[in-house]
Amino acid sequence: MVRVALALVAGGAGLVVLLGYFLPELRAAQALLLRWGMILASAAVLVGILNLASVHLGKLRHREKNAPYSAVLIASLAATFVLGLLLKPGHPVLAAIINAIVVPAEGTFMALLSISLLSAGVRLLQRRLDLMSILFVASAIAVLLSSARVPSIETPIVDSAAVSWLTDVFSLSGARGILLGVSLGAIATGLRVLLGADRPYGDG
Amino acid sequence: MAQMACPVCGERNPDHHAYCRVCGSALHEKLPDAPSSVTEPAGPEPVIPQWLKDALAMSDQVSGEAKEMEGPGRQAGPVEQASASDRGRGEENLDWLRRLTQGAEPRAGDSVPPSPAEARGEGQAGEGSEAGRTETSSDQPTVLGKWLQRSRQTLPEDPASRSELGIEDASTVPDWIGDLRAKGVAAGTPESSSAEEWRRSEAGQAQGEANLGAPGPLGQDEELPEWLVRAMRGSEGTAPPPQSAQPGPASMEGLTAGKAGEVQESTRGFERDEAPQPARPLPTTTSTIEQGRVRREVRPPPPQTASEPAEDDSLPNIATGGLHSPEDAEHLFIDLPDWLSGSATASASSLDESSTTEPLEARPASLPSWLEGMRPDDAAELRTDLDLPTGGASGFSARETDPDRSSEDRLIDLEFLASLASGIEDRDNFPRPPQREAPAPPQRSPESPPATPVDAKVQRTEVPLLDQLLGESQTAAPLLRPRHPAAVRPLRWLIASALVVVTAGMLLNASQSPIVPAPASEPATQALDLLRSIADLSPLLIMAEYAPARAAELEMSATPLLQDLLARRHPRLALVSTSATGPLLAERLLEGAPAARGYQEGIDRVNLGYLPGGTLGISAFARGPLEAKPVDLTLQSSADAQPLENVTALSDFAALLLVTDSADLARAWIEQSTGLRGTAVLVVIASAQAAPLIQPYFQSGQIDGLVSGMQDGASLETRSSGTGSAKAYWNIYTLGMLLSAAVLMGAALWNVLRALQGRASGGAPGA
Repeated sequence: MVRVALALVAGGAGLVVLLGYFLPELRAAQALLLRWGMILASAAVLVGILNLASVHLGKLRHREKNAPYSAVLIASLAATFVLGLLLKPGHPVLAAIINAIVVPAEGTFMALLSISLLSAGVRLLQRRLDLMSILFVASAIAVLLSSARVPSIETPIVDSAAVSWLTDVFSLSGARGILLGVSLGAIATGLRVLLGADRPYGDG
Repeated sequence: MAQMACPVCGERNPDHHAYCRVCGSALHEKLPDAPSSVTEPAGPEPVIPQWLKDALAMSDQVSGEAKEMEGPGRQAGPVEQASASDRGRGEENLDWLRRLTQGAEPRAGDSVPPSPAEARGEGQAGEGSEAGRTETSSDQPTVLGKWLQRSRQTLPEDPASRSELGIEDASTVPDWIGDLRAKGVAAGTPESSSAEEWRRSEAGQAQGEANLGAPGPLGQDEELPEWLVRAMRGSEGTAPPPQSAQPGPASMEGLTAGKAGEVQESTRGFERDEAPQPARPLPTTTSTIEQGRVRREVRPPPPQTASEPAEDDSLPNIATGGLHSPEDAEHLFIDLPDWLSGSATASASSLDESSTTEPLEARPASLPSWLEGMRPDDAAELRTDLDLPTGGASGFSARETDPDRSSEDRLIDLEFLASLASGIEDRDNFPRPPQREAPAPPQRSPESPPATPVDAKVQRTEVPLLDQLLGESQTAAPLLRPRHPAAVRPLRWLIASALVVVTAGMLLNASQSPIVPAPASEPATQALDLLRSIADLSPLLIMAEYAPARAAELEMSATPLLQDLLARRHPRLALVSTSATGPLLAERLLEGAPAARGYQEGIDRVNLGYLPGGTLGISAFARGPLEAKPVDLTLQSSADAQPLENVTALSDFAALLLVTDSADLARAWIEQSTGLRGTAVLVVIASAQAAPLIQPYFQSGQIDGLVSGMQDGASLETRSSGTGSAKAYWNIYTLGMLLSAAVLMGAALWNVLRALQGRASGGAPGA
């Protein structure tokens, strides 16, 4: 019974939102349901934060391995949360936290990723020398050269027509194929949820 | 002429006849095709329940009354003798009952008496047919009234008269039919369907009642007993519908209500233990009432011999280890699909209707394609796989290949397969049809092409192969072990050092960069032109949808365009993001544009903050920006903010500037705002990684401009103001790419040469 009720609620809400795109009479109900969804998503973020905190607090209580990192996380979370409540999200202190900690740290990880990828590319043909590996390395080199410019030289390394051909044929065809697949998958998933075949909200 | 009494029905036949002219049974005991139906007792003596003993005693009493009615001088007929012998073996023949009650496994070679089949078949006929069970059973024929025995002995010898009665003369029956009948009687196959005969008898009964009182033209001159007439009149209104394929109404007429009640009470235990069954081998009791007289032909239910595999009651025991409870019996048939039970019933009816007009061999059973494909070879495989005892289903394949088999036999086998499919424990491996099959598969004509066989053996052998292929597709080929694993760490340090040195050197000499950026792409140029065309002080919405890790790239890509726009049109800015860090990254983005430094919060720009819900929030925001974000980042009302003056819908913005590193978020914004943004310009500033996936939206006209990565940013900076950090970053970026490409090419050439050298020397390829 609960399963049926859940499926009816989910399917009905999805149907109203879907029909709201086509029927002006349902747009008010559609907007209402969407706003409800936003509120629930905000609450879900809070639930996720509480879950994260509880997990790391448990690690601290049981003195598990890497517990100091959990302590740092809890402290950072509490400080940011308290500062956000007290100073409002747009305060310069919070902006400084983003600019001085978050952005440099994540940028550093991205730079390390570039070094790791280049190292892996160097050793790829050393570990596995087959056709697919050669094609992979050749593609990477072609993309890098097509985007780069030789200093003091106006002419690009790879001809613009060749770059356009590579972009329009290979990249665009692949991108469109991916988008079509994503769209079809989204349609199928939406229909399955509307019809109750998929229950991402659980079976009750 | 010497005559011989039929050991089955008691009909007296000429001595030279090999088969009974009434029931077709073999008259001689040692006929090769007529195996004995006598069941040897197997195992210990069964424990007979009291109610059954009472039933047997009642049967003896009724038989004694019949003898007294005939008079003392009459010799006991064959039927009585047979019934007496049956009673003598009564406890032996209850072996099936012992198996049911004790759950014993039937042993190979045991013949199973037909009593359970009778009990279940009769039980389907309803309560009122319980009395008929006693009469139709070959094990208990003693309840036949004297009138019935006498009517049999007075059957006319005239072929014409017998033909009118529907009795075939044995002399007019072809030999092959006689053989078939002999096999059928011996193997338990009724030679004709009793359901059709029952319907005919019903019609005859109605006609006979209309002509009640008229003298009968035939030799059935025995008047009906008074109790039988009462029972018949009382049962007129409660007779089962003639569509039922279950026997009973004809035999039900033979007992008084009181006797029927006694027998019914005594046999109720069977009914409780028996589950409904789609189709049964029908008893061969026929009853015809003509002009107030009853002529009955009691043909015993098919005896089961050792050569004939046990029917429904024993086969599940073989497959499942015995029916130990009523739930087992119910479970046996609950899983029977509707299409199967429906087809079984329909097949039984169709067989009844046509069994008298065409040879049975010409009418194949209506089997589903998967089951048809199993015939006959896979049936043997199935039996082998299930390791069935020979006493149970060993004859299955042989019977399937037997051309003399009737369609009812095939129907019985169908039930057997269904019971196996529902009863075996490992039924997941059993080739079963999907539950949503058509309710009634069409009757296949003999000319129709055979169904595509489903070779279960091939499937079973190919399943591991498919599983292996799937497993291989998910596991990558093993990598070669490096010859010098310790050399990996120095290699990483060498690459990192080269990149740091080159980029740091270029960063220090950014003002003297010799690198000339490429000309701006067409989407970027179009974006710049469109943004320059918006009205002054018009509202502009900026969606900051990127992670802090991509901030450097996207800020360098967006700043030249934003700087040019702010310097030229001074738009009022509104910032929003579906990322938790997005609002602050948007603030950081504005700080990078010198023209935005004079913008004041709440007057020239408003930060609407975090938009929760992902695509849901985007959709809500597109339909009502102020309703979706009623307050800004400073918790002030968005409607009161000056930058959002006269803005109530998305189309009220002059332009939408989406800065993103995610193709999914770009797709969400583009798709959710389509049709709602009116004439607002939508420009996407994307990272170099996400730009190829967004390019189709520009090609299709869903977005008005696309700035792709740092290259377009540097190009726009060169084209617009010419000042900024974008070109410096681009120089470092492109030099790093050149260095990376060179390293990759060198490493690839080195590895290929080493591999070729290794192969030339006969060693292992690779390092």
